[in-house]
Amino acid sequence: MSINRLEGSVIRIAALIRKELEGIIKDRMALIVLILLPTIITFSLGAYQFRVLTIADYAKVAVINQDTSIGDPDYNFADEFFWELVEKANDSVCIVFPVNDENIANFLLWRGDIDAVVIIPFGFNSHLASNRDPEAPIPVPAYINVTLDGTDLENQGKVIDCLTSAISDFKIRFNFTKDEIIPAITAVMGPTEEQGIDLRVTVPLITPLLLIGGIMILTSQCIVGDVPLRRLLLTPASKSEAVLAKVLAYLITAIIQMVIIIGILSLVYHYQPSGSYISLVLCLLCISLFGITLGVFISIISNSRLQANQYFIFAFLTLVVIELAVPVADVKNASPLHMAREAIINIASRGLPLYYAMPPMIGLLIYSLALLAISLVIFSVKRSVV
Amino acid sequence: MDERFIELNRVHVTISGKTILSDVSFYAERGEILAVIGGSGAGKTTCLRVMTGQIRPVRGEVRVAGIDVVRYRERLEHVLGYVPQLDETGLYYEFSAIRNACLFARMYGIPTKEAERRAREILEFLGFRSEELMKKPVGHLSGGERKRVSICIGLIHEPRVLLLDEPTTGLDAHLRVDVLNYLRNINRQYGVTMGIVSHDLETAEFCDRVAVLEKGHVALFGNPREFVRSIQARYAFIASFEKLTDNDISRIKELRVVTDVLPVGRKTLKIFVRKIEEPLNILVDELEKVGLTPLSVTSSDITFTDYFRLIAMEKEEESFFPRNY
Repeated sequence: MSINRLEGSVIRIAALIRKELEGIIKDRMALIVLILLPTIITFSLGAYQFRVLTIADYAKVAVINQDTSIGDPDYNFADEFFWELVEKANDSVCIVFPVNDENIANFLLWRGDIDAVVIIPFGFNSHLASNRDPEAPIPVPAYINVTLDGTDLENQGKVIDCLTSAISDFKIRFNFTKDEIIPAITAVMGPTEEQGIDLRVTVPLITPLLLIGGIMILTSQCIVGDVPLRRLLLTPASKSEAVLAKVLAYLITAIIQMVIIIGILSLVYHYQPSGSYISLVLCLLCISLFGITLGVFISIISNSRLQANQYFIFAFLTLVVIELAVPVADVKNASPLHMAREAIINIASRGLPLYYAMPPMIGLLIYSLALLAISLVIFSVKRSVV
Repeated sequence: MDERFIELNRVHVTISGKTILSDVSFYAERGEILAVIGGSGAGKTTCLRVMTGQIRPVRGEVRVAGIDVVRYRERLEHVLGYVPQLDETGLYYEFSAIRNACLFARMYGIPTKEAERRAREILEFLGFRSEELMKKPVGHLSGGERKRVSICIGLIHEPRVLLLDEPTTGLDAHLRVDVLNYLRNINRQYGVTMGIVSHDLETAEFCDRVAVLEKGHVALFGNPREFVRSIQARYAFIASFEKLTDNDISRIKELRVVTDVLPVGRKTLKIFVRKIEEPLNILVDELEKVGLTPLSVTSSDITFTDYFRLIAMEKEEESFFPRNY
């Protein structure tokens, strides 16, 4: 029986499809990428709707009431506005609390412990009271000074939402119909014109991606792609020596990467970190070490170069998705990429001394050491023959 | 007293429940070359991995340079050199021959200068005459040159035993002989005991002992020259004919002076002749008498390969070895 060209083509394509599917079913890694990756991403994206908010999700707003002026005999507008903020806070995913000392509030803001400082200045009461006089021709605005953490765009949104709702409801409640309350907002540690608006935002995000991704793509091949290593392991060289040598060698290459990144940023774009260069280099080393150990881990668990590539894409995408698309703060805070970003923000944007900037760096070091330990255990039991 | 430097005694290996080696025993004495020969799946690479301590046998004894490999694998590293089958699994192609050798030497703690001196000495011995060749990236060398670099690495720490996995695989016929000659010379020069795993019967010609594996068993073990001496024929001739049928071959086999016949080409036979005076003349006379005048007849050696093909034919066990043997 003869078949025409089209039939022949269909038969061949069907056979090839079957072969591909059989290959995927037999390849555990392909199955993981196929099923686990979309599962994680989709769950992450939908998590916002069903999330249980924890303290980490809330933007923290310190309110300092400096107003002692005399205004309306029936109301203290400064206190009323504070309570209006408290009332609106929950809906805007904020926590509002009073602070007495402006210096303490600014210090907490600098360290990243809080996200905004709202100051109700002297005269707030008296200005608003004067506006209640129906004879008053022009409103005398009552300012509130708001200082935001410019490094955290997500929490900036929450704070501004809380402020806007509070001002709006406050005005309705006290029959203010004009621009009687004006918030004077300043974002600190964030983009400034001198430092380059884009770089201030992108450096803390792009640098960890570059360092982790750039080094991971190399190290994910370093064991599985080093075929003669098996022969080297027949010499007195041990597996742990081989792994440690690779980690250290790639740490040296990471330093070269760092020099390139910092060099381009500072020489070409005149980017200056707010903190010291030494702190920044130590921070970048921690980030690179994480990328290296994750890559080595991938290389050890992979049985082929192709599989290592698949694992790399899987791991890297997961890190990126958690950072960019997961709105759950606790999950995000546990992500190494977020830790890396935090570490860079602490040093390059906030200008924190190393001591205060350490927590995310320590987190990265713990991740790195854990990955290294697991890698060594797996490599020691993994059978390799020449 | 002779000292056994490679010894497998009743070794049994199973992998994932499947028996790979069953009661395998053979040995080589100090300074000898042992060939472990077999077809695909015979278990020869497993033998090698057992000898290098990469695979632990379920039972049996394995000794290399007097070291119990099963119990003291780590002691083996300094006395054993290993040359893997594929050069890419044992050489860094982007490095030169000298750099590769020095890298491996450093693993044994050999100082760089001493490593370089040794590497040059061995490479020169292996025919690397020019500095340029020694410093060329291994990836740019020919197959035969790469194999010699790999052998150099196996010898760089002056091992007492050198194990080689299929050292002639993938090489042209003349390169195969070159490599085997180099190995013989190294054996003589450095006194290294060698174990060569190969599917190539030709390898046995260069060895002092041969162990033939078949389906995980030792089918044959001994001195290849003694095996050759054990056959009835004393002379061999390669004869070409204008045409050759199965019936012609049967008629040649029945000749009085002929002990055996092996086809070596479509119209060419290797004819084995018993011990007689003037064997060439008598053979030609007898061939002419039966109307099979040869186009040419040349004298040849009786080799281990011939011996093996003859006993395989006798046993009519085609599985013993692939047809092309």
